[in-house]
This record gives sequence, C-alpha cells and structure tokens, in this order.
Amino acid sequence: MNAAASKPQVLSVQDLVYAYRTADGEIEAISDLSFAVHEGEFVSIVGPSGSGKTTLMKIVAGLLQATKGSVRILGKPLTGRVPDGVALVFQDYSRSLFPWMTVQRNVEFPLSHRRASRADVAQRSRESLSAVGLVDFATRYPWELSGGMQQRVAIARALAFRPRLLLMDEPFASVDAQTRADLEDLVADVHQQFGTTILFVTHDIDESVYLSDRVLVLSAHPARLLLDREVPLSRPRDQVATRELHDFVRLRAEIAGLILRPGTEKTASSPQDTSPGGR
Amino acid sequence: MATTSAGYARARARAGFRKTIRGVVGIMVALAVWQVLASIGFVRPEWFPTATTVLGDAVALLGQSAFTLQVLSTLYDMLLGLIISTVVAVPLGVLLGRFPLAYRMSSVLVEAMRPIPALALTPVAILLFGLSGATTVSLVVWTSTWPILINSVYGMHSVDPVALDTARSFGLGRWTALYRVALPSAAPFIATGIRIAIGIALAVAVATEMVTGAGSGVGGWIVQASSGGSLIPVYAAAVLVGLVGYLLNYLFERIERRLFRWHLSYRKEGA
Repeated sequence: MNAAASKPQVLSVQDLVYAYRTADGEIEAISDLSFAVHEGEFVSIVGPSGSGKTTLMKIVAGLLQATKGSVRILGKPLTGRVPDGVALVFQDYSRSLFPWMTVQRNVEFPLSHRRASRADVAQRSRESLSAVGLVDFATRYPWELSGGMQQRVAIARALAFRPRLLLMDEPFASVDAQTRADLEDLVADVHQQFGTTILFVTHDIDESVYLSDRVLVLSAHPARLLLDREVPLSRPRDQVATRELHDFVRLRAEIAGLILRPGTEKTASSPQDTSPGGR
Repeated sequence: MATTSAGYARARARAGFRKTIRGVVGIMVALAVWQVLASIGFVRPEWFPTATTVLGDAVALLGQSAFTLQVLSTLYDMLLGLIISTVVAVPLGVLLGRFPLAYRMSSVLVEAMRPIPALALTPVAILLFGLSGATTVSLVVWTSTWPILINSVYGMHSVDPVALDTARSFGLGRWTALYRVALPSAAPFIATGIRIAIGIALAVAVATEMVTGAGSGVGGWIVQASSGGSLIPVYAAAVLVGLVGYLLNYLFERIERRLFRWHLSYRKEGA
C-alpha cells in the first residue's frame, strides 16, 4: 500500500449514501462511497460536474446529513454536528468572505469566538496572511481585492483555524488561468510547509494530478468511486516541467478516459486493486 | 495607485459639487416661480403669500423660542416613537426572517395592518393616552414599525446562505451565527427601513399634534397660529418642518454611508 496509509486516518468515509427527494421521487446523489484520507495527505476528488462532489464536501464539513453510511473524522463519527478541526474553503470566495470585515478581521473570524488570547489571535492571523502573501493588505476590505487575492484571504482564514483537515471545494474554479496556477502552487506550498491534510475537490483533471498525493475519481449520477490512485510524482512540482512528465501524462489520460468516456470503466476499482507500488 | 486615487477623489469632489449646485439651482427656480405667481396676484395674497414673505417669516420664527420649543417637542416625541418601534420591530423582524413558519403565519396579518393610517387610529390613541405627547408617540410607533419590520425581514431573507454556511463550518452555533453574520448582513436593509420610517414619522407626528391640538408641538402651534386668520405663519412653519425633515434624512444617510460603505450600494462613494 502507499506510504501515507501507515499514518493515522484523518477522515474515513464508509458506505456513504446521500439521497434527496424531488417531485419525481428519491434521487441518489452519492452511492456507496468509501475512502480514507491519512494525516498529511493531499487527496483530490475529481469528477464531472454534478457528480455530487460539493454534496460530499458539505457532508464531511457537517453542513449536510448523510442518508446512510458513516463519516469519521480523527476516529470520531459525525453526529449531525460540525466536526472540530475541519475548515472549508468555498468556491464562492466573494460570498464566503464577510464584506463588512477587513481582511484581518475575516482571517481572525474563526478564532474570535474561541478561547484564544488577543495576542495569540493576532499572531496566528499574521502568520496565515504571510503564508498567502497578503500581510500588506490586512486593513483592506475583501471587495477591494482581486478575485485571486480574495481566495487567498479565504485560504488564510482556513489556515488560521489550524485545521486537522482542510476541505477545498473547487476553490480555483472562478479565477483566471495565471492566478489559478499561482494559487495551486500556493496551496502546494502550504501543504508542505504546515503539513496540512487536504481534501481537494475539482473538475479539472490536470489540477487534481498536479496537486495531489492521491486522486479519487468519481462518476456522476450517482457519485461512485471509479478510481483511487496514488500520484507517482515527486515534490516540489513545477507548473511546466511536472506536466510534461510521462507519469503525469499517463495518469491524466487514464482519468480522462474514465470521466470523458463513461461506461468503459472497469467495475473492479476498489482502492486495493488500483493502488500502485510506493513512489 | 496613489495618484489615481487622488485623482479619483478630486473627480468625486467635483461631481459632488456639481450635484449640490444643481440642487440649489432647482430650488431657486421653484422659488422664483412661486414669487412670480404670488406677485401677479394669481391667487389672493392672504391665501398665497410670496416666497420672500414666507421665507422672511420662517427666519423670524426660528428666533422665537415659543416656536423652536414646539419644534423640539415634536422632534422629541418623534424620536422617542422611532426608538420604541426600532427596539420592537428589529428583533421581531429578525426572528420572522429567520423562521419561515412564523413569517408565513404573520405575513398576511402584517400586510393587513400596515395600510391602516395612523390618523384613523387617533381616537383610539386619544382614548388610551389622552391629549398628550404620548398619543403622538404611540401613533409614530404605529407608523414606523411597519417599514422597519418589513425591511428587517427582507434583510434577513437576503442573507447569503454561503456566508451562513461559512460561519457554521467554523463551528459557530445558530445564535452566534445570527448575531455575528446574519445581523451585520441585514443591517443595511434595516437601516433603510429606519430611514423610510423617519420620513413618515415626522409627518405623522405633526398631523397628530394638529388633531390633538392644545398648542403642543409644531402641529399644535400651526393650528393655533392659523386661528388668527393669516396663513403666512402656516406656510413658514411648513417650510421649516420640511427643512427639518430634509436635515434628518440627510444626517441619517450620512451615517448609513459611513457604516455600510462595505455594502454594494455604497461602495463607489464610500471606498
């Protein structure tokens, strides 16, 4: 098995089902999904639009209740409450940042209602803002910043929380290509620097391979696990050189085949079957 | 960056100055038309005095403590009523906006009570509170409550669910999220409700005083002054009441602009 598997599980999802009722009856959005994320791992979930990725993130963040199955965070089952130590970065940075607070107040927001000393809060917000390169913008308002900078504020806010598990739901889907590449490298750096465990949702195959230690491929309607594959690429990675590597190209092609030509996938795609040897 | 923002500030100041000039010109034109119409004897001068006569009288009125004390009395009753209705309507509106069932149960009732004019309730108010300032206060409360209540509900409905999800995902409880996220998001809407209420409250306060009479407040003063036969003091007092209303609205707008410069509708001016 892979190197991370020996580390403790931060997230474990077992036989997860999520169904919702419509006028036409019950629709299953997520079907029998099982996977685990280990400490320090960067795991991407990639799948076509409408494959229930956001729903899955909301369930893990405790914002939605699963229909069946179990979700455990650090061994503790989710019981209809928001789990401790989990931070979520939304796709809609402009809507998830609070416009009436300065950048600094936004970053301090998750700490402000906890028992933390004023000095500790200030130090953590400064540390997080410097990790995303926005110390000089602490007194600005989010709406005075560009989209990419706003998303960096959202990332800094999540980092200040010092989450055991950082959930990122298509965080770069609404920024331009150059900003996106910068933000990808920023998140990769943060992962290396803080050892944060990250579960990253995207519909961009390249992005999932480029960023992660492991890629989970989901099908659409309902979401099922098609592939659980370790990424055989060393770190640090490079926006140009890494994407030209044979291993990168091959893995991207394999995932693209699963997502773009559904129906041709093998049914045997449990994690045990597909994980390759170590790096 | 610094030069463009300085240039921007200059351009903004120029635009503000132009706006003021246009407003002043508009008033001057209206006054001139008034002056001409009154001077040519279009209507009998006792009924329709010239602008200069009325304005002169208005300035003179400002110097009379008998009049200014009545203005202060009206303002006091009006502000007291506004404060009471804000204290009642904002929490109520926040709760109605937060709980859809409560909203559905109450919305028809609210819509049915809202159009009842305060003056229609004057006899009831007099019965309850007598010929006193309390009657004025109670009718101001009745009128101001509705716009504040409805805007509070509307403000709560406009709170972005992503913002609430964000708060919840960081472990904020329901009530903390309400206080720290929903209430600030809704605040600009609530303020708009209060500003609308200020405009109507002054009119209702003066009208109530005219009905209850007894010489109290600007309304009472107008009734008493007009019993002398001349309409000039009535016009003069009306001009001053209009001016007070304008100033109140202007002040409140300035406060809104400062507090809510983060809100989409103020960003250009406030940033």
